[in-house]
Amino acid sequence: MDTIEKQAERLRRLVWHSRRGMLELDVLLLPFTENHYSALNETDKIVYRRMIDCEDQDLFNWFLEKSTSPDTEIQRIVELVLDNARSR
Amino acid sequence: MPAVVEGSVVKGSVVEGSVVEGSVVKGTVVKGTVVKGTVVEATIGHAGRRWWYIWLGVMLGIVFSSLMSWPTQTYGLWLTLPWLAHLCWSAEYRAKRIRLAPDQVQLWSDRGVETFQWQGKGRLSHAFIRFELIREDAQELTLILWHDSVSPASWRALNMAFRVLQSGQVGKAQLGVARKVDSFFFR
Repeated sequence: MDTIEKQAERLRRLVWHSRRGMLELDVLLLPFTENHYSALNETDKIVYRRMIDCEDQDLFNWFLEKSTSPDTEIQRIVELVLDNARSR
Repeated sequence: MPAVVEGSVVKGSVVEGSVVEGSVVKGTVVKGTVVKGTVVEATIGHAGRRWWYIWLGVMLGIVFSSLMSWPTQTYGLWLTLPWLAHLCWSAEYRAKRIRLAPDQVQLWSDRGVETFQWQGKGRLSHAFIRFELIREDAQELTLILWHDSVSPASWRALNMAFRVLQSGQVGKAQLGVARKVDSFFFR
């Protein structure tokens, strides 16, 4: 029960961190955090949290595919978020 | 379960085709997301600036053409220009609300809710977003969303959704063509 509460707390914190200064990023990050984050495996969750800590401008460029992240793990998560946004 | 975060309400999201509760971000509804795909909803208002520019252009045109054609008659021009303006006005699809999803666009108008297919065709500029839509009866519609017809937050959300979803749709279309070519040559 305690673990579930901790997980819920962590998710709430992550949802809070997904609210960025840029509304453009909110459109992609908030839904992903709310709907898909829990289904990720532990490794991906750690990478996702690392991605959330990146600068807004970098995230914006990665999501618009203007550039790619130098970190291949983060780039994989970026592509995962984009795939989910585009899927029917 | 709704969670309130600094004045913004996150009402949650939808699971597989259920109704989206959505989230309110800075006064604009970014109606959350279905588990599959991003969905952005926005209310469309009157694009006043566009009509101001058109009105100004027409008036300047009338004044200059009147001066240049003086003293010949310009009654035809006075009659033709308002008629053309009326024609443009009545031909335009006036949507009150838009719901942009990965492969379809829903529009709310006086005629009710209509669903269109969107295959990623359109154009994004600083002043407008143009969607090339196809209705279920294969009729095509060009929808232009002007920057000043939606709130700034809605514009930004639509802008991002358009860019992300368009590149996905174009990728799918290219994949479809490649598959057709493959199946033609390698069957």
